[in-house]
Amino acid sequence: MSGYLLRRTASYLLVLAAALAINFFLPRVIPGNPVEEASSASGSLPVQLDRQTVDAIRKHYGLDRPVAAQFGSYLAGLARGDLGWSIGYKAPVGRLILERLPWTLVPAMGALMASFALAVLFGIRYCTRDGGEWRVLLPGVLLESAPPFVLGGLLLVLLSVKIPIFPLSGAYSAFSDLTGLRSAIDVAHHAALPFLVLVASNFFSAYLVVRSSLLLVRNEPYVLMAEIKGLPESVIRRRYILRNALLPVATFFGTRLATSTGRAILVEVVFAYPGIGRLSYEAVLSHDYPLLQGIFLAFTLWILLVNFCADCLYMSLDPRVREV
Amino acid sequence: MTPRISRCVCAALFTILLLNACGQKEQASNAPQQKTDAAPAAALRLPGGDWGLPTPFTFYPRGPGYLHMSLVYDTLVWKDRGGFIPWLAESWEASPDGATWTFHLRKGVRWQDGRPLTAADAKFSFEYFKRFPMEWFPMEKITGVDAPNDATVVIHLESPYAPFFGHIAGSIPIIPEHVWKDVANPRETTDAERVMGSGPYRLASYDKAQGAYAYEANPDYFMGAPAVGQIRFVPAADQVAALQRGDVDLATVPASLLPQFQGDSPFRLISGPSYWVLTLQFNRSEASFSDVAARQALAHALDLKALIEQAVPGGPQGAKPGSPGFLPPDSKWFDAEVEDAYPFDLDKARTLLQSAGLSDRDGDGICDGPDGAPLHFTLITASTYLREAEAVKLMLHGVGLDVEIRSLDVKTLDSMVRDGHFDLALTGHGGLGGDPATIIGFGTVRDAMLSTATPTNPDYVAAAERLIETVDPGERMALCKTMQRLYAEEVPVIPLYYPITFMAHRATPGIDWFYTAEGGVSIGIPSPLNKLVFIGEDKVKH
Repeated sequence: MSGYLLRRTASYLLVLAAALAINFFLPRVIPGNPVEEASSASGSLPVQLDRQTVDAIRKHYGLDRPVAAQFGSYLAGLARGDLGWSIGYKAPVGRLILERLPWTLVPAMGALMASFALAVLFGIRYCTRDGGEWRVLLPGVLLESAPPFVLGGLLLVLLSVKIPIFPLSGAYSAFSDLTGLRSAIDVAHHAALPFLVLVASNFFSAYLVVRSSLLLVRNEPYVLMAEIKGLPESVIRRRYILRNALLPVATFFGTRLATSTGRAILVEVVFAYPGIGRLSYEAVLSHDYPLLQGIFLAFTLWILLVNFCADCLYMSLDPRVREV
Repeated sequence: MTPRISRCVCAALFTILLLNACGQKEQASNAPQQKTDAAPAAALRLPGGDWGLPTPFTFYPRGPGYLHMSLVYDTLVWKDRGGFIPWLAESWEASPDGATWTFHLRKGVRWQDGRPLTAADAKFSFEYFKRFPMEWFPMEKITGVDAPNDATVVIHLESPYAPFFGHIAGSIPIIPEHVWKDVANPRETTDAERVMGSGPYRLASYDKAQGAYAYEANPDYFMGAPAVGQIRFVPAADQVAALQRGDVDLATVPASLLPQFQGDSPFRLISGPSYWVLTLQFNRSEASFSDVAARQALAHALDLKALIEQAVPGGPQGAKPGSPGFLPPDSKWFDAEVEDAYPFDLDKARTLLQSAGLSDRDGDGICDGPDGAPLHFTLITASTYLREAEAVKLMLHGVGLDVEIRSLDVKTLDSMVRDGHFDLALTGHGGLGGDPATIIGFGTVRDAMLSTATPTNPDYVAAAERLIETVDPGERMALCKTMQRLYAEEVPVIPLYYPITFMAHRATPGIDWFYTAEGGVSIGIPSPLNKLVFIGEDKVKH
């Protein structure tokens, strides 16, 4: 392993340690607490808890102990691989997250890759020749400026209610015992609209990065040299321009990938998609400390992992990094 | 290159659609065959959502969670559209002091696994809930439970407890001793096999991630096989769209969408009270509002009908104006005499403000404080009630009160009201349908987590304390009237309006939706999803 990677790994561990502490204390700073949530004013039926029950519930979840002791047992639990028990969902946090994570990762990552692939395709097409770019820019600007939940709502009304070709909500048909290909098609059918919305909302910014990077590289002297040498245009595009232009695009892809789970929240709420974004939204609403800690931890690990992958990708894309 | 790609994408999408459409058709053709197997034909699809595994320990302690659990578990008594009815217990009697209740269980009731349900199970249930308290069930009052024979349960209370039927006998489920006796941590027992009660439905499948439930009728139910053979709760992000599309048979409809469902429509509407109230609260520890005359002035200054017209979706169809006595007109404890205690009257409001020392002395249109400086008040509220807040602001401006609105998130709003960091607050809460002795802001609930202002008049407090122990209906009604009168005099808060809920449903033969009496199912869930609708009201053996 190179010194570069070692240094990166060390800094990741530091970040992880700090994040663990923040993840633990942050939810506890929000006004309110999970037990109080059971008799919330926002619901239509606040349950009146008597003191005896409140104390019993607080004791059950260990909320009556000093915060430092709670933090200690949280860390001890983590060391055992136990993320705790969700107060609001009444289920193990680890299981909840594992159940929901794929429903966020697959569409969010798929949509991100699709939008970057489209961006590169269109970028190559329009940046090496003049004119006609408005055909990408115009819809791109429009889709980017519409918030994903507006676009999602619009698509739902058009394609699920008026012309009911797509399902209204959910990630798969409830109670169907579809198997194999059928079930894969069912999942794709449900994912189509959220996927489309995510692609639309990711495309334009990806396109802009690709575009500016391509334009910068296109004017480099070595491209001019290649053209003078009389190399075929496709070779110049792929070997000379694209390869060198991809570095900032990869960085941007990394940051977008890291935050893609957060971006998916709105879309998941609109489509009642059982992803982790919706889970975290509901966990915040119900002050579910263990679940929030678990979700934040998952997000932290995800961001660190993506960054690490980006670091590795850099090394292969740009050999100079290895020597830094 | 790109046109080719887009063509491929289109083709792929089209194939997916086509294949899926075929798949759905196939499913649809399978469905009737399944139906012929079960005796009752009807199946219902309702809007889903995750409300927890329906055991008494793992359902989410919010409205629909209990409704799910009640499909699988029974209670000693239940409620229909008229009031309490016998359920697992066919008769009961109370001791003269009202502190001991004896229930005679129905004979021949069996658990879904075929074992008989006995008084020992009931005794075990109450003792088990005492050991493992659950948010929903108040066990504080119960001192002991006896089962002198297989069919008799005797419940001893610490003191007479008026909400006993609504909160204990009609709310606490009876659980099978043989399933739970060895479970040491029921809150964390989430295996689906534990979902076994004496109720009309069995849980056939539960998908936590999507919030989907399937229930199958229990053909051996003690009242006979339920009329609805299958109930499915399916994910529905937008209930109205799901209803129009045919995904569900019942949906909550916002009052603003009512016109879509009125007149010539394949759907029928039912409406009922939400037992929720939006209130204007005062910080009574502040000089300006510590004087009752100032609070009464505000009650005169607010035109509640106009407020509803301006701010509530659907206008007067969507809400009923608040009563100064706090209890809503839909409550059977409501006293109509206090309803018009504060008619809209700006002159009277100004006079009252003046008597409280708040008047405009320098002629700038804004009331001045004792030191002569103009008074400015902050009205805190949540973004959901901003329209109402704007209307209140304009109305108060009419009597010279300068109000600035601050919008907060609900959590912060709740905690600021609780800690007294506000001048005026616009906030609401539900649960107004339950027993009046336990209603937040009206009854006396000691150490309640959520507290809104209640009258401090000693007569009121004495009446409220008496109300929780009095079992005699006539005396309770008299106490409630006294309390509403004293409440209206003191104006601890101004109730602004009580929203009305609307449900649209597809007309289904044999299904007659209704809103449950006594504030709703169990401790007062204002929802038409009473299991009686699914069982068939005609089956109830009185």
